[in-house]
Amino acid sequence: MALPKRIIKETERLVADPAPGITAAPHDDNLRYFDVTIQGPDGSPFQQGIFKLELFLPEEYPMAPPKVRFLTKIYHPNIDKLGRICLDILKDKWSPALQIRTVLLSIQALLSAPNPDDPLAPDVAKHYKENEKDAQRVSPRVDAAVRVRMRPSGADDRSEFSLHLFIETRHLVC
Amino acid sequence: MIRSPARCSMLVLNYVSEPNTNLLCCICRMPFVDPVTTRTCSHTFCRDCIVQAISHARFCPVDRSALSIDDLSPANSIIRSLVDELAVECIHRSSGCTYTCQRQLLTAHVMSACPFALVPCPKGECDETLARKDMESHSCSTHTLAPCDLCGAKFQLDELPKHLSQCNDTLVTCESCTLEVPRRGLSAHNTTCPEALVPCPQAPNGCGWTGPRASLASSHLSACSYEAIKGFFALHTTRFARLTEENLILRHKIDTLEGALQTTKCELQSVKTALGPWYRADGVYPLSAYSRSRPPLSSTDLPTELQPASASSSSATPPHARPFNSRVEDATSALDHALPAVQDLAPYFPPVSPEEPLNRDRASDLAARRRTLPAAWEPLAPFGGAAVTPQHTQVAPLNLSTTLEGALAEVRESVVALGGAVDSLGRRSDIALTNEALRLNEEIMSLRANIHGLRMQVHAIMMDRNAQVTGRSGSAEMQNLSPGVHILGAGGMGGGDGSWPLPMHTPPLPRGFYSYPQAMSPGGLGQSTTKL
Repeated sequence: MALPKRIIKETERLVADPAPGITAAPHDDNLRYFDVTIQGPDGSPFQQGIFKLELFLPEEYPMAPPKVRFLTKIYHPNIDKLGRICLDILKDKWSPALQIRTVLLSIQALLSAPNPDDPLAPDVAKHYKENEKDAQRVSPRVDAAVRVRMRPSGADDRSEFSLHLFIETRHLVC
Repeated sequence: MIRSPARCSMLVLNYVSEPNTNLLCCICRMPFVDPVTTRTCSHTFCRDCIVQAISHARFCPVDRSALSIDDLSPANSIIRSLVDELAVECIHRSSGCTYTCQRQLLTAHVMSACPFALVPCPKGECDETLARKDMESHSCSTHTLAPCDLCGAKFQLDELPKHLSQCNDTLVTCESCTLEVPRRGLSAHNTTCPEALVPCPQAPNGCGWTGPRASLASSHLSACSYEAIKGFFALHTTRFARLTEENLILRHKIDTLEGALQTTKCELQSVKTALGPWYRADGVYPLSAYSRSRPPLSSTDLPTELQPASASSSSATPPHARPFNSRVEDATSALDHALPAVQDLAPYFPPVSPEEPLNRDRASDLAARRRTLPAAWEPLAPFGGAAVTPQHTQVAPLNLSTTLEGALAEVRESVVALGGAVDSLGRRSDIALTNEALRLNEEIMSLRANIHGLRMQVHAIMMDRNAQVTGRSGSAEMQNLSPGVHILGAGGMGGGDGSWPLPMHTPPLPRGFYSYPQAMSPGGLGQSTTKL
């Protein structure tokens, strides 16, 4: 089936006019599959991090929501260890008026405002509820460690540091 | 969901300028197509988009308020006009159409005017679909006629090359003189081309020369030795042809005759099979007494009485030249011997000659009648002695020349007649016997009467003598004697009632008739006389 014009237009706009802190690029062999990165929003525990996600537009899109998953491990009460996201607009609150761009912005917003009342990772949510400061302290360290593991290659100064952190804080994640 | 072609094309339209974002459907991100507005929240969508969205989730895509199909109403006509008047590019821009127009007019353009729109072959005879601009030059191979450049005749496109290789107006080169002539004139040219190789006119007679036509008349004919004696050839040919023709006719005749002979042989064979023992080959005359008087197979169908004298005389006498119909018997005997030549070929031809059927039929009828009647009555005429004389036996003649069935019918007829004759003979014998018996009875009666008279006379004489000898006593003895006489009469004659019965010892009639007088003497009369 030919790609709907809406997807083409959305892709064009995502590439030509990306939202701040968000990049999305379709795969060459499957234009419904996007590689997405989201920068940790400023003022959030994830401020330093760059999070990789995958996004897939199902056949029913825009009538059905896109499928989005974190590839980067993240210490977040609404995101589980497999990267699945607990976000209402990706489930029952999806509306065909929403777009890829709005979904990604919502996820970015979710990073800045975790919602422990509707958790997907109960231990993290509990941690957040009991001691939000401590949880926020852990988050970037875990994030950094996982991010290094996910990166394909390339050794920059930050990765060595992250690797050290990863070894140090491993018990917190697993 | 079924979409009309126009609606389909709407979804892929390219707008000339970026439309106002207020005119975009939030679902498909394109300017509204057939816009509808919700009554509940006054949001506007394309009809297809919102119908599809409601089928997935029954709320407004913009504000998530509850929504159903019934809440949709056509959008304000201003919105409709705004989107319908947006300038769009022709959908065949990729093919080369640079036409732009208001969106509402694009359908008409594509359907009727766009030179790049794909349309089916207007003649409907080929399955091709082609751009409208190519329609003029389109030539379906199945129905477009193209003229031949040379002869002007029109042919279908795919047959044109084939025609060109056969066209009568194509110039072809003569193989002999390298002159180019139209194909239609090639055969005519070949009969006159001076360079064409031709054989000598005397080639049938044996001249082996072959050369250009030009040199035939100029050089060869004067030197050809066959040409010099062509008059002889002509005569010879004529005679040969005549003989051949005659030979052909003769062969045909022989074939016909052979066929006829074969047919005849087959018929003869079947006739032989049918006749069986009735068939006799020509010249074989059975010598039995019965058939000595019979002519060979075909000679006649007339009956011949087997009286030895007449039979031997008729077969011994040479043929007479008497007319056929003078008398029936004469005619038949004459016929028997007048056809010796026919007899030789008899097995091969039908038995009845065409000029004779009348005589023969009449004769055979007469003979048949004469045969049946005398056969029944003649033996009766000489009563008694004639019936037992074997010399007068009459045999029904066999007719070998008719079909086997006819002969059998005749034989059967004869047997029936013979049976009738035997029957009547038996009856006649009975009558004769009865008559004879009556006559004998009468004779016996008269004899008895005579005897009675004699007895009475003897008795009277005896009485007279007794009276003379004894007187009265004689009458008493007479009384004693008379019962004895009566006893003798009863025992000797066999009668007990006092009448004169027939003698008991009467022998069987025929013998008795002849021998009665001798038998009577030792019988009752003799006894009575000796007693007396």
